Amino acid sequence: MVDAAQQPPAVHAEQVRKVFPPAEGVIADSAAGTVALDGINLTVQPGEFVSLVGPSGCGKSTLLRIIAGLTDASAGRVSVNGVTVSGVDTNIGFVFQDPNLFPWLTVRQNVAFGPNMRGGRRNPHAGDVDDLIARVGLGAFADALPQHLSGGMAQRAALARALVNRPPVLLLDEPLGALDAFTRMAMQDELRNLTRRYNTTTLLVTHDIDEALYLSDRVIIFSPRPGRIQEEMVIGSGFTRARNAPGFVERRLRILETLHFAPTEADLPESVGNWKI
Amino acid sequence: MRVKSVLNASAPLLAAGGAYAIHRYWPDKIPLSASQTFPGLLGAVALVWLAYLAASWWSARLRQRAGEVAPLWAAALAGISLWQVVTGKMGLLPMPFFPGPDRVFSVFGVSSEVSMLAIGTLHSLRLLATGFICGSGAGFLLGVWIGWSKRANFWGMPVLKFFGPVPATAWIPLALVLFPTTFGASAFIIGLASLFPMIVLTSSGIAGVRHSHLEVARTLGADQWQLIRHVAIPSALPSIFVGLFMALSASFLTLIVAEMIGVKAGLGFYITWAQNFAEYYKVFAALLVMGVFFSGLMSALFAVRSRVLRWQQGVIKW
Repeated sequence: MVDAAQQPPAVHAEQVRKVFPPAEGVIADSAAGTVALDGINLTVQPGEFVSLVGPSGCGKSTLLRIIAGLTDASAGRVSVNGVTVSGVDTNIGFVFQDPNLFPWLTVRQNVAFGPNMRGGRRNPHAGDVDDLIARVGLGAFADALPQHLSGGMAQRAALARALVNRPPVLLLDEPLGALDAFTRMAMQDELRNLTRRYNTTTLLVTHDIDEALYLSDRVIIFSPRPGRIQEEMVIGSGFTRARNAPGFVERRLRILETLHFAPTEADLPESVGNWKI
Repeated sequence: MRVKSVLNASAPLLAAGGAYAIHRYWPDKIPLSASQTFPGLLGAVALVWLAYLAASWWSARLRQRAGEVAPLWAAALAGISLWQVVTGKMGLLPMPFFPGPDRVFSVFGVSSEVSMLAIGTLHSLRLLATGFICGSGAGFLLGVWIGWSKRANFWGMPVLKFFGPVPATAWIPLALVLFPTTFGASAFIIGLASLFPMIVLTSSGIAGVRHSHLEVARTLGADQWQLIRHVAIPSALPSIFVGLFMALSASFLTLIVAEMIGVKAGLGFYITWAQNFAEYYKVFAALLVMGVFFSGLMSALFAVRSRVLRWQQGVIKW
């Protein structure tokens, strides 16, 4: 497995299984409950950017929550930087699909929330708050309340808030899912710059295959429920991250095929033409 | 347009003048009070309004505000005048139960009465503050506890559901036994009256905290106490303020009942005391003071609320 001389993997999941017990008013697959995840093995190296894609309800968000310690696994073991996850840990940053900014705090107070909870001024990262706000482009809005921000601005503030603790591992649960296409593309670039800059290991759950290909070193494709890892696609460093590059389009098609959403024969010629293969 | 706004701005002056003319020249059915406090008040209102208009010469904001409140001032003066017509001028209402404004306002011209009312107000304020602060403070703490802890909720809720609807005044016999002084007993009853709405609204606010906010705070390193202090309580504040408003009005009610029954001081006591001498004009005067006193406290709470909940403006209106 891991050499003693080597660094432990940033995230390591072993035979993770999650069963949701049957609950009132929730449709379960069987009397025993719903199996959301089964036999998940995943190793993410420090500094790696990995995306999880798959059909809705395949348990990718659940896996993220298990790694963050927000949900317990029914079976299996998860460790982060070699330490077994047993609860929420500030070594892990988490950004949800909804920005979830505290509406009673300004942008600056939201971003400073983490350092304030952990030592206030004595926290070594307390001074980074304004720097990070500026880095995500909200310098002029530091004193604004969340209700006055647009969706993209709010999500940028949420990203700054998660990063201010300098977590070695960042978990992103469809953070850009609710944004319009242009804001989303701009934020993808920002995300890549920030995670590169801080050398943050990042796990991204997304529905957007282009986003996964554009950002990741590796894309992991999930099967429908119960979620299992169906395929892994390593994106080499030589990969051209342009949305219309031939390699990009080819990989997108392969992912769609794996997910059974590939265009049919009838669609193909025209679509391929548009994609400029 | 211009004529209309000038007319609007001078409406309170016209109303004050009209009220004075009615007071002075309409023949009386019931003899006028010798006191000049009421006509003096009308003159004072007219002067204040003139000063307001003079000030709004320089400030556009004041000018607009003056235009907005002018009809209200005029209506209030017309209402008072109508009251005088119905009582003293036409004698439509039985005396001495319904005195005219000339008689009621005469109370404010007698220094001994004014000092009694002022001291009464201070007594009421002291009793109200003691009861309300203790009761709503305890209600806040219990509400946070019941809202946060499942176990406290399990054991506390049935007690709350059982005793909550019982009016606080029903506890008066017990309170009189439990406390050596009537002040203590009354403060206890007022506290009890503010306790229940505070517990209910605080706990429902705390229990309604968005789960995702708590999760975010946990991933950012907040411990249990910090979750309560920095997430649950701030997000429950809108509900907590509703609880405070309900607690405040419940304690007004209880305060006056307590003062009418046992406490030998305060505005409620003054009312019963005046009633015993059939001096109903003093009852009305005390009611007016009470109106100013209570609505002042309510406005103060409103002002605090809109300061504290500035982040909520535009999200929820009430």
